[in-house]
Amino acid sequence: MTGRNMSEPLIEIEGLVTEFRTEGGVVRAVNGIDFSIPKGGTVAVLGESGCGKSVTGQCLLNLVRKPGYIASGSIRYHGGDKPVDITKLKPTSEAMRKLRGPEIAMIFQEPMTSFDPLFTVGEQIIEMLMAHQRFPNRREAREHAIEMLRKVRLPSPEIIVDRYPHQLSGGMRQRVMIALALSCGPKLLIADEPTTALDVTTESQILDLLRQLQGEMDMAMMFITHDLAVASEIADEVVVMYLGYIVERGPVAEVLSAPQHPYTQALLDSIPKLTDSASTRLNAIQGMVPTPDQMPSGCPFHTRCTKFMAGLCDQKLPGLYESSAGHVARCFLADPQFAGAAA
Amino acid sequence: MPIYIAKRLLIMVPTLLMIMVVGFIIMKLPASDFVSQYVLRQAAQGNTGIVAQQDMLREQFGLNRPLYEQFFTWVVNFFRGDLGISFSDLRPVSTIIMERLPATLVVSAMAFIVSWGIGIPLGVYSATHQYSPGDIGLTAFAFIGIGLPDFLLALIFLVFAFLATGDVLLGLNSMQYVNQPFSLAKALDFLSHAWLSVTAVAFTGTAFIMRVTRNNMLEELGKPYVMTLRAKGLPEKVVIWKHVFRNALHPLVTLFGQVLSFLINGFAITSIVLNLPTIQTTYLQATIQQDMYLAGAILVLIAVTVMVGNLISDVMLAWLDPRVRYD
Amino acid sequence: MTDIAADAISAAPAAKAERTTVLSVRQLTWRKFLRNKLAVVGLIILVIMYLSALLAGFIAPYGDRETHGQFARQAPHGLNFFDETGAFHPVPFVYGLKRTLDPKTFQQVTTIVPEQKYPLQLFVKGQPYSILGLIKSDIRLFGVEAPGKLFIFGTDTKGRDVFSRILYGAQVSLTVGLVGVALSLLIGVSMGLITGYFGGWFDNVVQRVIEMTMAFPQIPLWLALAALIPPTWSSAQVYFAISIVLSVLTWGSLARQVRAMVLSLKTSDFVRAAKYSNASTARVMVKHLLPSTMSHVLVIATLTIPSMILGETALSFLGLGIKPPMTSWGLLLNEAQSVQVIIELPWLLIPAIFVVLTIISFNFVGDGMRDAADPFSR
Repeated sequence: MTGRNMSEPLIEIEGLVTEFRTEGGVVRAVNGIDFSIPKGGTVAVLGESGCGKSVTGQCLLNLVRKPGYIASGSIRYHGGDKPVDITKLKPTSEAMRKLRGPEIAMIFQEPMTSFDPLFTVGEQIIEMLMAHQRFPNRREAREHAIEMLRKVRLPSPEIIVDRYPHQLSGGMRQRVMIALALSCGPKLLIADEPTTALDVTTESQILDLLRQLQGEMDMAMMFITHDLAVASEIADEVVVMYLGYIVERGPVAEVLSAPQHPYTQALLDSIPKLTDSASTRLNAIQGMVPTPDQMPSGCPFHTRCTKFMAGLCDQKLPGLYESSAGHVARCFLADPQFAGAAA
Repeated sequence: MPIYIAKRLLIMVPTLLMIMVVGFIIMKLPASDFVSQYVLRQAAQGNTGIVAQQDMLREQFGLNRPLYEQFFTWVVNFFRGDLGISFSDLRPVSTIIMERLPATLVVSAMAFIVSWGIGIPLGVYSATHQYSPGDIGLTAFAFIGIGLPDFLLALIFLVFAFLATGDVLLGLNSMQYVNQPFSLAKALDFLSHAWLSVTAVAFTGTAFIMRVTRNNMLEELGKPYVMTLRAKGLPEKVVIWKHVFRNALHPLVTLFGQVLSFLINGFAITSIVLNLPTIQTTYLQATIQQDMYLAGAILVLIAVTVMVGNLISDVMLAWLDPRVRYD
Repeated sequence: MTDIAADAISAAPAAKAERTTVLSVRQLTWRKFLRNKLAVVGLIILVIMYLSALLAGFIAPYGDRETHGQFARQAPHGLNFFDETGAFHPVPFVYGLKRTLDPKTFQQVTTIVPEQKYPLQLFVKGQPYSILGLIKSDIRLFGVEAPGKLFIFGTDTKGRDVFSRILYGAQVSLTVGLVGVALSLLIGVSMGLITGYFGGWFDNVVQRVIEMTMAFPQIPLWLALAALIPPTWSSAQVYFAISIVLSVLTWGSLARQVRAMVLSLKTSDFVRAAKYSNASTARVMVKHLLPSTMSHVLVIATLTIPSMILGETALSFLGLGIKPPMTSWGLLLNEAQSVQVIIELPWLLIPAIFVVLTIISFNFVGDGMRDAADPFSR
């Protein structure tokens, strides 16, 4: 995206496991994932609801809600003077708190419910600036808040700053949310389905805005979405998740043009094409996502896979096999040895 | 807002009238009246001459006039500030109420402050430490507080106080102070008696408010905006007290009026058990003796208190919550 | 392709989809309720309580009015497994009692007679009783042979067995709230349905009346109304009068909530569909609106019962409620009104434990029902 050396990672996730303690036992929401986000780059995390993508985002801020917790793995953040492992910090610690906002910020899916309804949006930005001692007094913080609102192209920011969340439309609220998240100049922005709750026109405006601000502010972005089109539009690299596993990862162009994993292939096939006739049936992925407490044995996707090989896929978890530089897939079919043996 | 308050106050007038009608009907429903009860009691004590005076007494109290006339005289005088006289001790109702009001207010205010002052922090603690031993203990305490009638609690406290000090802490003042003017010694004596009833009533109140606070806090803590607040890097204290607590306060404020009637209820029976000179005790006696103007006035007073309490809670709600607008 | 995948996609013929059982809303609700352990415990306690109240005559060793004059004010006198020598008796027994005059204080004292041991017996003959007026019998679940006495919770000032009286009192205390709630349900739900559905002047009047009832704090009004009950009424009349008194103030809030639900449901698709398919107004109300409000209404009703039980207890405690010869927990506690009595006969407070247990259980069950009422939430 920028001229910067893309290989220099801002955050490295390794073997991250997140579990939830439920009445039915411990359920794994995130199952040993590894990927990294380069400085200034954008990684899209793609998957259906319940695949663990949002929890992954929350892990980066150490904000997994009870009864969830990070069970193992590491999240190394290289934005500060020296690298820190976020999983080693206590969620309530001061060190963690200082990372949230100025280093890593997050925007959420529901602009409706993501604000405290009792305070003006201005106050909600100002208190964040004050909590991180960005300004000596509230007056200057307020100036900066207005400045941020202008930056996200809200009309008459001086007025909006004193508005309550319920007085704004969904699109405006999401702009305020972006202004809030960016107000401390974070190095990484986690966007958790920021456009899902918005209509299509607003969605593309918000995406444009995010892309433009990312360039301006030189930050990295982790973009969580279930929408392939959005991912292809915004990301450099894409991580496809299924039931807490990474099933495919690689540069966005590669993954979309030559998907290796049957799940990614099915996702791509399920997008209706303009050339389809009206009678063409939608290529939906068969079956339903198993609930996490009914985790299938072997490959997590084998229950819905059209290329399911009995005795193999339901027995053994495939590893991540590289098909081209930086492009990996968790499928035996992508294993060059296996392909060779089959041939 | 002032228009809204004025409107609400205006609506209170017809409601009040209806309450007065109902109160009046309740007092008039039994076949007996104050005089017949009085005569019966006197006759039982051997004072048979009183029977002849029955009609004269009725005449004197206006009890022989038609019902609607009695009612209208009562209502008209009531709104002119004349609450009538008490049949049983022949003094003006307003005097008796004013005598009883200070003690009632002090005891209720104390119980009110204790219930909110202790209930809210404990509720917040319970919610922020859900399922911790502290939370489980407080929950158990709350369920006992809600399950145990406060008058029984008062009785149990009374027994323990007796076993510990050898004093029966009935009433609100020791015998020697009852008819004394106000003094520091009397105030201290008052406190040494009042803690018992206040604790008994506040125990239930605290449990109730704690439960409500805990539930509200837990509900708010589960909302998405809490995640935003934490993601902003706000200190946890700010997240809890400035944001979550203020949101959780919202349903508590709607309870404000309810808590008032809760206190009136609580002290109603506790006062009787502990023989406290509160307005509730007077009310019960007046009701049983069919001392209708006294009972009626207290009933109206209590109803007005509850209505004003509800109004205050609505106004506070509008002040706390920008989404609520009354026009 | 596996079976799991197969029946999940095709939403297929029943024969094939046997393994994915479809649960009805009722089953889901019940499952969710069972997951709340406190609610289940509460439900079990309540079931036991109500069963014991129903079978009071059978379970209680003595009749509710049976006096044991010479053993008045007797402290709890329970069962022993070990005798004075420490020997173990597989069948528990009670010692015999003897009344004597203390020569120093000139007070009646009861002493235990170690030589007399009365073993616990099952199915003994006692005073005759009837269950719901249907089954008449004089066989009681347990007891001891005639001269021996079994006072598990002691006796009151008139020499009546407290344990037996708690069981008989439960018949009143546990049901008066139910009758009261049933009455408020009847009035509240029908008022709510009618006012919500039709609106208009009737709605207006009812709303004002409800506002008025809500301005009364319960207890003072209960006191006033209870004081109205003529002293000449029979126990049964008083019982029903008290349940009416208890329901006077609660129907209003029920009616309001039902009305609010009806108002929002009135415009929903399923109600409109019913109307367009020419369903009569009565049918729409009873078949469509009523069931939709029911789960919510039942939860509120359950949470209202405890306050009614407390109300009965309070009224009877003050002597304004249930009156002898009927008995209730409040009336039993009425005997323990003064410090002196409580210090001398602390066991007279035992009924309070049952009051607390009942109230807490109802609260647990109500909370559990509230959570379960929405089976699709987490």
